[in-house]
Amino acid sequence: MKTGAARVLEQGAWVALFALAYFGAGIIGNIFYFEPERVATFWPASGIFLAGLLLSRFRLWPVLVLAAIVAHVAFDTLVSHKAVATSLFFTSADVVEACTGAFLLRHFLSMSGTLSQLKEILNLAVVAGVCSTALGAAVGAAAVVTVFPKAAYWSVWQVWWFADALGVLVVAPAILTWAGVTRRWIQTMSTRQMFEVSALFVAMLVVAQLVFGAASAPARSVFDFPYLVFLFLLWAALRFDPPIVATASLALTVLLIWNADQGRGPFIIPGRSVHEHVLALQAFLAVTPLSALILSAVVTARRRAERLLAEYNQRLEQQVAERTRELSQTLDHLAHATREAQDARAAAEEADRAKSQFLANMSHELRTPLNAIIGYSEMLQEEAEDLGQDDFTPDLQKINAAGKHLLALLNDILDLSKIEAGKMDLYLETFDLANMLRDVETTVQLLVEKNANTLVVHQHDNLGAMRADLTKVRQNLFNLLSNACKFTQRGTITLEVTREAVDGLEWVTFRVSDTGIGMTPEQMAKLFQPFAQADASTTRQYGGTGLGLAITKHFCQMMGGDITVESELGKGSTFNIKLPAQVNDHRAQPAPSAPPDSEALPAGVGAVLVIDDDPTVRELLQRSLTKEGIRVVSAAGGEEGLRLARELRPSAITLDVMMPGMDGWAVLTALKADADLADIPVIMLTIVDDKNLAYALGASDYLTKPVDRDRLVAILQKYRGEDPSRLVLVVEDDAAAREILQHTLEKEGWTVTAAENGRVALQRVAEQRPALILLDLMMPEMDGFQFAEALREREDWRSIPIVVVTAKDLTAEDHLRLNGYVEKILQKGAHSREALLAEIGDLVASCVARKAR
Amino acid sequence: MPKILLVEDNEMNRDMLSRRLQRRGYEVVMAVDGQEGVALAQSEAPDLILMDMSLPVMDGWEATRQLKAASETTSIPVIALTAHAMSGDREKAMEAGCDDYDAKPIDLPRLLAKIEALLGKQPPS
Repeated sequence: MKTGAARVLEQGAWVALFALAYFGAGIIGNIFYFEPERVATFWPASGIFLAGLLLSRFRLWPVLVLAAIVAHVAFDTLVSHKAVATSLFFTSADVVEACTGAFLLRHFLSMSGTLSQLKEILNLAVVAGVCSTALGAAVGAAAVVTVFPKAAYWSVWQVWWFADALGVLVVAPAILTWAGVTRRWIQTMSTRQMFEVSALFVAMLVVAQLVFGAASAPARSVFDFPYLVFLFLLWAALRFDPPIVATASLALTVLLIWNADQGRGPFIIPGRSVHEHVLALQAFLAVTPLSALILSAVVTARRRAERLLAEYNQRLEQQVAERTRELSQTLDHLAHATREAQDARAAAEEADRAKSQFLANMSHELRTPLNAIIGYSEMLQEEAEDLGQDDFTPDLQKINAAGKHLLALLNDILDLSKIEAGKMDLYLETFDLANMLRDVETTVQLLVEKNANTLVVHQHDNLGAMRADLTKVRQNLFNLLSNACKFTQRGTITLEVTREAVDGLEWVTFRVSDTGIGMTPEQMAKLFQPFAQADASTTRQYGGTGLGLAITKHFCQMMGGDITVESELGKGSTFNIKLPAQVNDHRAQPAPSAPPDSEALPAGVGAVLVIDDDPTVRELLQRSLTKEGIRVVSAAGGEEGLRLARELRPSAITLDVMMPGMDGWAVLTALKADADLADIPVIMLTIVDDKNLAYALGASDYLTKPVDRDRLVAILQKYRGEDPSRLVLVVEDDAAAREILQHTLEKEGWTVTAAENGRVALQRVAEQRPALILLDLMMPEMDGFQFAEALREREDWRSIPIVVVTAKDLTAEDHLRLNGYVEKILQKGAHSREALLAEIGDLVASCVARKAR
Repeated sequence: MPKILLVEDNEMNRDMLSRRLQRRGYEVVMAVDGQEGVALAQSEAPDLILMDMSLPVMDGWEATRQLKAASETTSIPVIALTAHAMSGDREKAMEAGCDDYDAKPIDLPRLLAKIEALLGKQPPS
């Protein structure tokens, strides 16, 4: 910061310089005036005055004005020998002009001290160069006219105006542009450029001198081209910055005026008045530098713009590079994170697989030694019996019982582990409820009798079929029933099964009630939690694992149903399992297959070929299978079926047995004979009265005639334990065969009743329920099939095992061939239509799924 | 006396089952893996095969498939013995061609009934 004194000193110096310059300009201007009014044609002082004001602070203006006045008056009196008053008058014109111009420019046009923009140049030219000078000229002309009354006001005014204008336009820019020059600008000027500038000036001045110094007409010289100088200004404007251009203009102007004053130059045309000369000269001088300056400003602006653009570009590129770097860093992180995630997932999958493997292994590993314990203890019991060592038996039985209990625990724990690991799957299949219930009843019978209980089963007629996980439903029922048996002594256990539709959905409810010890509300609350048997002592007293109900609840919920309990202490308990009749689970296996997504597979893949002469059956199968997502193609007869099979290579074929023309057996033979078609699974559909298909009845077994004794005995062994009555009913129309059977059976210790046809047989069954029925199929009046159907209708007769005896025309070989080739033999009449179709659907779906793998 | 081929890799299971079957009057031939099972089935021509499903060298399913594919052995009934009693295993066994299946631990009366049922279907030897 400069001190106040230093500043004052600086300003003083500035003012002094200004005054000096002004004085000098006055001298120069005085050289170029024209007689007789002695008005200058070129007045540089205006330029200096204006520039001085523009370059100074407002506060300094009064001082500058004063200095200008002093300088001017000094000059006028000393050099021009004018009167002081006159001089003051003249000076006032200049003061007015300069102050007006500077003020307007500074205040209203906010012009800086330097001419850096085109706009500023234009403003200078118009405001100061034209307007304020006009004003000044007006005052000046008035002064002149006052002093020289003979002078013409307007011509004086015009000359004065142009002189001052020239001064402003030529001198001011030169000063102002140089004022804006920075040290750096000087430094960046290369040697080559300086050389070029010098060359320019030299050339220009030479040419200018030649042009402007040319003798006036008529002694015209060759160089009568004033506009040549314009080329140099153009050169300067395009190649160099405004200061150079302004200086060149100034030089030119000076040169031209000096020559003109000598009477030389293109503007001095004889015959023209001096006034006209001056005008022409002034016009030229005004336009040429101005144009050059404007051009220079434009060029400079453009150069600056280019520079800025380059700068911006560079900055932009830097930013882009930076962003790119950041982005690639982010990408790297992302790639890294993805890899980690993939690794983690692989690890998780591996762990999951290990878990599954563990469960599977544990299952196997734990059961193997248990099997040994159970098996050997049983075997030793048998051997002890043989040896007559009965006192070993109770101990061995204990080992056996303990082993079985351990196995039960193990199974439950593994089940629970599977459930909790989320590895418990549903295997959905469609099954007949009545059949399943019969199974469960039989299985649970021993347990029921253990505590001298009775089991009563109530079921709706026509319960129909259910689609669920059969194993789990059975397990649930068995669990509930065995619990009921355990906690009831000499009581009644009731199993009630109902089916109802709620909101369009069908539900099956299994209700197990007992007249046992019952439970308290606290016990009921803990019931479905694993290991929380109602009481710790109950396990010891009543056996069991404490896990069964937890597992049952899980199974119910997995299938979309639930289990509830009601109980009263001392009175008994009732458990209700409610399951949807059609269980849906996306995790269930096997999934109904969709045709595989491969165009390479033949058209038939995923499709089922239905061969049946009955159009209703075809339509029904079509509809029910299509619902499962399986494509169906149908044929009305054997030949058509074979043709389509060869064409399409379906994934499965359903085949009706009874067809006109080529019957099912013939088709089957043909299919198996064809190497291409032999692999396609075949499901045979038969109606009731087909005599060759014993299993169609749901028969437990069959024998061929003539009956082999050993076979018969073996079968009898099988059914020996089931009913203590040892009563067998032989239903056979052929008397001789009947007698043989009777004889054989009695020898084996059975009591025999006989019937010669179905009707009589029914009577016999009504009289006394046999433990076993040996049934011939071909009989008059009521044949075996009809008899069996009739038998099935009675609830308490349904469970009597039937051994069917057939004629030997179906060879064993046929059967075996059938067993290998035919998936299943289904009976059309015995099941409800829906159940049958659903079962077909399942079978077909599994065939198709297998084929697709 | 009917001959049963028992294919079981676990020594204790083999021992138990063979002895108990023999007590019941069956002649028992044994194999310890699937491959031996197939070989013995062909050479010994048993009346029935008890096939454990998880076997070394060749597993039970593959062995059954091979036996059912070969003409000499195709008629021999096969009962699958599986340690897993899940429905999926049942299906898998039947798929391979088994005539019946039984779950371990073996309930001898139950197994015997199945054996007799299948033997009963045989033509007299």
